[in-house]
Amino acid sequence: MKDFQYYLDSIAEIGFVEKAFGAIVYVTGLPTVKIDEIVLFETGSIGVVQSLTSDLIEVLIFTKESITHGSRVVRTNETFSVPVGMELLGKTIDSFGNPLSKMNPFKKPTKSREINTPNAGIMSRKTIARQLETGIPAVDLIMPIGFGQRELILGDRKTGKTSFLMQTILSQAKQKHICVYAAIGKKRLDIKNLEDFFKKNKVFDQIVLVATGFDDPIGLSYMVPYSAMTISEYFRDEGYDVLLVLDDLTTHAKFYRELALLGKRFPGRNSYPGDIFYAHAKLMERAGNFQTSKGEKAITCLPIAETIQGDLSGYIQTNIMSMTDGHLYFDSDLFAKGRRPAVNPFLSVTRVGRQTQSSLKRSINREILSLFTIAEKMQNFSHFGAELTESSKITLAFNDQVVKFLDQDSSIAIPVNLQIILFSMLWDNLLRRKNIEPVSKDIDKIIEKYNTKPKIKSIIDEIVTKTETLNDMLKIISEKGDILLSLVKD
Amino acid sequence: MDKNTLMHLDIVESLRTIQDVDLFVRDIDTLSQMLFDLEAKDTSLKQALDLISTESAAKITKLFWEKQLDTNDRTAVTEFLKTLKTSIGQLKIIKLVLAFDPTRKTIENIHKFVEKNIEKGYIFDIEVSEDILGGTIIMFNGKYNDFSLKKSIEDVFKNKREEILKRN
Repeated sequence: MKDFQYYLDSIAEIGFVEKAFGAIVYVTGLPTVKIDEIVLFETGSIGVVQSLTSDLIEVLIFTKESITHGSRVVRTNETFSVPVGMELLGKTIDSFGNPLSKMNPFKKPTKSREINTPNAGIMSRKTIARQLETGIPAVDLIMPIGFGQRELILGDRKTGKTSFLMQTILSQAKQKHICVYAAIGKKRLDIKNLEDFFKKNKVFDQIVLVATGFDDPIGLSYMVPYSAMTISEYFRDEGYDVLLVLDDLTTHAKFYRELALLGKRFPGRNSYPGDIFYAHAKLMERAGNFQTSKGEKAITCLPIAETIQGDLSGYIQTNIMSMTDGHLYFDSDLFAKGRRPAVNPFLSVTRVGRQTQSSLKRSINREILSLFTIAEKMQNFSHFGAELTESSKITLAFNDQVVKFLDQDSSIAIPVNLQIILFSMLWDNLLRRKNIEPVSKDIDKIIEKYNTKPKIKSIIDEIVTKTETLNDMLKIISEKGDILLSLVKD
Repeated sequence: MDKNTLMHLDIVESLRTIQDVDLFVRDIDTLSQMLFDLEAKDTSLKQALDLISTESAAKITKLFWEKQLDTNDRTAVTEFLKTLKTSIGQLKIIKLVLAFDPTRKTIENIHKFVEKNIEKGYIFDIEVSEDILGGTIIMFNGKYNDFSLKKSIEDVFKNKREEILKRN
């Protein structure tokens, strides 16, 4: 960006600040300024035009310094854009593509993209047909997510939402997909922890972290999800499947509410502006599964919404629920009981995820959900103090085994095919007979074998690919289970 | 231009700069406030006019006389002052940057030029900046035009740099 005098001389238009309310500034003059155009103040501050009236221009500023009445403003004839390129991988940036910390400077990419672009039309969209592996059995087997799906991650504070997302990103990055993490108004320490986690797991070179701290200018935080989406679109067009995490949209909505109230827009429900739904829906619509010049590529979007005391009926939460293809509800009660991830399968929804599953996965999915339903009923029944029958006790004990298998350490990512084989072994009671725990070190060893021995991997993958139902799989397990287990165990 | 402005064009025409306007508006405000107080104290309008600048008082008295306004009717006077203030608020501002502090005569000449070539109803917001060396920078309606000597010299150096260096 050039200096103030350059734009003043070249465009020959000037404006003056009439009023300033925090991050919102009203300017007169600049007769041909456009919406979304970047304007430059004589102090060096940057702003973007939000709206126009017959005599005033509403500008959102991106600096902490307050703007004084009478300051001069110039047009730049440039719209809000973010630099894009492969150079962004492994970087932590703000909404403008600048390094978040001055300690880690880097050369900005020369290409840039406009932040507010129209959504891709229906003709370029493809049916969601590929499953996105999170590496977490509780999600991959029960609430599958497809490439291009928009799945809301919902739950109270401290219910393991971020751990789940980090695990998913880890799994995706290891599969060489690009991950974009938008951290909106987070604590600096949390951002640093995220960065360190990815660096420690050696996947940061597959990740772009777009972040703002809670003390950053409000306008900058407001723009984070839009910048992250633009960067995701760039990588999609470059031929990558992208996983975009928006952490979190309830905070984003609060920032937007603050800006709207400063801009004297009429407050609606919970004082949010009337167009809050539009603001989020416009963003969500940019994700999906697309037919690009480089084949079928997807932007899978996982927005986060925080609930208060498990209230799913909040305004922003229900808004985002209605614009996504399902939600994973992280239950604080389940979290307190020790379930990791604490996904409540009865309150979670996946609208397009199941269509990505094979008939085998679907049959496993049905069996697990039906087991959970029966076990839940039995547990409720046992609360009345009734004596449980032997069969009920067996069912409850088996349910505990399945839950134990689904509860994995947050650092473990189990490949889906291995999840299916292990689950079938568990269902067949083979693991129990052999005294193998479906968690911790035993699982670690099996995963390592699967990942490092291509022969074992190909055998398991072949069995899973060729099997149609869980019953067929159980037959195979009863015939070859011991051999398979010895292969992966020893 | 608005009807109200035309109604008081004589008085409005006498205003040249933003400082003139500020002073006059302040006097109107004082007078309005005094009129409000007079209702209670039962003192005359003349006493109120004595409290504002002589120039403003003369202008306003002339206007009252011209419009044949009943100065005893406080409501009519207050309403009239309000209209006058609105009319002044509609004046358009031309911002000028000059290299020297202009005399009243210079301002008058510039104003005459604007009246003749553009329209009536403009005032000037004059800023003095010796940096521009000479000429002027005009800012009006969001448009910025640099007719300064500094800019001209810079342009010459930019476009004819080689030629100038050769001659030396």
